[in-house]
Amino acid sequence: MNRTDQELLEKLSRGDKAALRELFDQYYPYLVSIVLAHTQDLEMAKDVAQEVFIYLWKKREVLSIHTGLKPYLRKAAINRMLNKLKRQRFQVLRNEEVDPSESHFAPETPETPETQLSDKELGNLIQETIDGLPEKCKLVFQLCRVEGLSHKEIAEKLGISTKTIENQMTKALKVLRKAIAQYENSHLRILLFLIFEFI
Amino acid sequence: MNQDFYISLIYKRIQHLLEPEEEQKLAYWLQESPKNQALAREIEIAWENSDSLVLPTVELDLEAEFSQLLENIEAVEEKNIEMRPRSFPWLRVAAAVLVLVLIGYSIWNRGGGDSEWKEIAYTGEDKAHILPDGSKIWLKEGATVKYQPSFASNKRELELSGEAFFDVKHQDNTPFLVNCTFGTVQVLGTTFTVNERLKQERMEVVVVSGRVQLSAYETMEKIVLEANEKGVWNEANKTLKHYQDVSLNEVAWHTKNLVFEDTPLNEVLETLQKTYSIELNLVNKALAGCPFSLVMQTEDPSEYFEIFQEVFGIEVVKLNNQAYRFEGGTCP
Repeated sequence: MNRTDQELLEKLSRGDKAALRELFDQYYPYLVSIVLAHTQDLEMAKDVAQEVFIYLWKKREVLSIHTGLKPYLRKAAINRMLNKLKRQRFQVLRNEEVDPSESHFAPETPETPETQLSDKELGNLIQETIDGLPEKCKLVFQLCRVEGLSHKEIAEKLGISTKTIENQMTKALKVLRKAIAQYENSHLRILLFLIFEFI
Repeated sequence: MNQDFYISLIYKRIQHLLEPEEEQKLAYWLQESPKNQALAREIEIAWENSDSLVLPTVELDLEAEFSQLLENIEAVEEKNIEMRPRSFPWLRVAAAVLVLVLIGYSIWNRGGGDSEWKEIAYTGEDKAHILPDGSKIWLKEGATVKYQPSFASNKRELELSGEAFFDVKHQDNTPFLVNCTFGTVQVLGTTFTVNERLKQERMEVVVVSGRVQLSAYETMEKIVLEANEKGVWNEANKTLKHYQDVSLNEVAWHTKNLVFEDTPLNEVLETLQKTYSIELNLVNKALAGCPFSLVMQTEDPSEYFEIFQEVFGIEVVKLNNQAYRFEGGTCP
């Protein structure tokens, strides 16, 4: 943990509200963004971030954080978010689960003009593609890939089956792969074009 | 087989979830054409480059959001449960000893004049009983102490059945003695507990602060115990053992002050069960070894559950007032 965080937490443990404010300014927007990146629900994102800070304050005297504060808060926010999602019964995903056509469902590849594609970094392309995934597919993919949760954990926390998660992951990868294939093709075309120029 | 199927296999390979026969199928398919290999490579590229999150930028009125937080905190604090972590107020007293004596009532027959004895029994709550000399005693469920009216005049002597926590007032010339079936605890200025277990035929003395002498009747052995030490008389094999560096969690049923330092979660839960007389069931056994650190003093075990929820992402299912089930969760 960095020194400033350590110092702020120490001050916090003594009930220093100025320290709370500093931590708030530093991490509250971050937590809101994290939850928002998963759910597209600003109200929920704010609620979750508020709850994490209420918790931080409530437990200020007893909290012992061994990892960095930032990953700790992130993990706390993700867990709270998952609890909320589960409470909301995660309706859409459950519906998909009982839909037999679900595994054959192929979402559309985001339409991006090829001329633009060649200019873009691969990373950007992938992130944009993820962003364009159906909401639940995106959530499951990011929980697994970015937050590092196992299929089992996601299944338990959201109350869905691991089979559904596997399907969602496959679905996401299929879309991503398509985007990459297009990207590579466009690069190839430019390369060929360049070669022709030289001849 | 359609392409989706193989994409799912490639994904499973990345996650090391492939069954042997699936592995074979995938290998055949990859050999079939370079196109398939290219597809597998593209999936892998997608995987490798997808581990970051695009954080959306949000316009937040931090001033307003912070006032909201302060309001929320105030609302929470109104129904707050008092916590006094990292302080051991009960340690500041002259002496405290936990004596656990579970040996039935045979002891009451010693010393005669039964009717004159004063008796204190567990009343269903964890409250201090004040002895004539000002020393305090807390009884655990099922425990009883007796003392004669002459207590405190020339000697302070009482008899204990069950488990009790003593906070003894120091008096130079008047020793404080706790008589049990198997032995005597003489307080040399201390807090301690005595625990005599009838069924297990043993007697335990845990010293929180100060010094205590434990004497076994049978073998006439004597040991002196200091803070964080424990003496155990085992009636079955007639041995008196001396343990050092005992966890203060042993006396937590009284103090409700628990100290965990990188303690595996399953041990934490065991301690909580004993301390709060509750039953906890950890469903996800993968968490059993997760280290947990906390110092907390609270009457309410659900304070811990909240922290578990936060740290491990565990979901707490209340079965009844005395039993809880912990589901899911991961090591942080």
